[in-house]
Amino acid sequence: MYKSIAEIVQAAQERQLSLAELMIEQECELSKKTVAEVRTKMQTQLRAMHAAAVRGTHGKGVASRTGLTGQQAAKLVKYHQEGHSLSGDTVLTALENAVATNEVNAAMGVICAAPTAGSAGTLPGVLFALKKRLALSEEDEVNFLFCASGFGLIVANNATIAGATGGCQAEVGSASAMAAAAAVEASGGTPQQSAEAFAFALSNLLGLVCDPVAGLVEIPCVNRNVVGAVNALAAADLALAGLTSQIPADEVILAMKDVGQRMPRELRETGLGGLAATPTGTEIAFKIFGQEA
Amino acid sequence: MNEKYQSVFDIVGPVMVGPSSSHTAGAAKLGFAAGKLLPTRPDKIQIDYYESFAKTHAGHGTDFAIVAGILGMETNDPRLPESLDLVHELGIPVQINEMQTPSPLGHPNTAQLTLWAGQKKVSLWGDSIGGGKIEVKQIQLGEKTLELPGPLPVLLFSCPPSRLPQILAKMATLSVVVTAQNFCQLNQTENLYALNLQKEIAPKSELELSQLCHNLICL
Repeated sequence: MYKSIAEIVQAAQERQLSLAELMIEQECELSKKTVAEVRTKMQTQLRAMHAAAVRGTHGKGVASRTGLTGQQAAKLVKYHQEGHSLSGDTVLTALENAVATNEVNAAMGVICAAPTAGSAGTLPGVLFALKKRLALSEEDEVNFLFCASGFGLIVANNATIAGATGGCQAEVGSASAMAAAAAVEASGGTPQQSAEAFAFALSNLLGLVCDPVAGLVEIPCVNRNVVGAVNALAAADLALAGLTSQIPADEVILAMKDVGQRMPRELRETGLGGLAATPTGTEIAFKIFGQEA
Repeated sequence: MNEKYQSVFDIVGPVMVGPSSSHTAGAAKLGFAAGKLLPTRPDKIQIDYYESFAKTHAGHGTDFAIVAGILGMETNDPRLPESLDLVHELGIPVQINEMQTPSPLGHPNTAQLTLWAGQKKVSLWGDSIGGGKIEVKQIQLGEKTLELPGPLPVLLFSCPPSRLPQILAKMATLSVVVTAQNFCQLNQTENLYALNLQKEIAPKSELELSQLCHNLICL
């Protein structure tokens, strides 16, 4: 099993294989299943992601039980169609799909965690934007998810992907870095460029706190996935342009772990600090639960 | 192989009902594991939450997820959010406690689940470590407590101590690799064993092993 990003990049370079191919190989070895079987399983995850994004953007979209979030992805779709957005087609597509996915999640609909439910919109945001931008086939999309999950495994085993342990940097930060690395590979970049994109994306989100209002995975989680997706696209572009991170990707993961350990518990998914502790955040919690969450 | 996350589907997955992989999907898995400890549906449920779980269980759907898991629902079952209505209709009381003390397991997402069915009482202590992944640390059957030897999957069963070599030999022929084990005395004739397995056991192998012991449960 690959234990570091340096290891997996080196293996890809030496064996002239893609990062996705290496992850498929590792998964087959672990599960004793065939390439076709593990690809089919990943296709199932992809289709669940797609179904959630469609559900959230279709018609009026979905709303959560509390009414705190929902139906904003549909607004974004309309705005996008009007054609006057500042950030353009690819970014708008990423926004719609990221928001839609997390609105479905907040509404207790079915999503695919990637790597977590709170950060479930980041990967589909980037993936479905690239699908349109690069005309990716379903096979390419499945490869994107294998590549992303390889980077995710290294984060999960060397640091954490839980907001309660490391804050939102561990969730949306990890998702964004995974998406950035996979975006580079989907665009024809090198394995080393994937590692650079990963390092940029995670470095830029270090310190991001987990401060859910009323303890709900709604505010600010839905929109945090927007920053995850857009940051991933930007980081991928930096790497594809040939920029390199001075701090290697594996060390950025350790930095994320270090920051997570130093983060006070009020900012690690307890609903006690940050936006959750603002007067309005506290009032929302009181309205919903009749007490401070 | 001591990495907590091994499969790419631990990262891209599970496909699940929202809103939180650790507080909903992981919670449902903890409930599912606890439910397996009883041969029948429980008639009473108690949930003790610690730390982050204690603070955010209501908002993250942890209550319905754990209860749904206890009733045997999987993480992607769309009926998950209705489980509290379901136990109410079934007349199963659910007692929820928000503990003020730190987690006895040293993890922010810790729960102790206690289930009763008639005279039987079982308890499970576990953590939801992120991305829908769980760890079960300890179980209690009646008054007997057993610490689990390592991460899931874990095979639990009871048998007389003299029977164990035969069971281990059978496991070897079924290519079931045991990586760690622990046990406690269950009653005058039998011990309760917990075997940490390298990977999940096939249903056919489970059936064959169940002929050789009692109370076989695969967590």
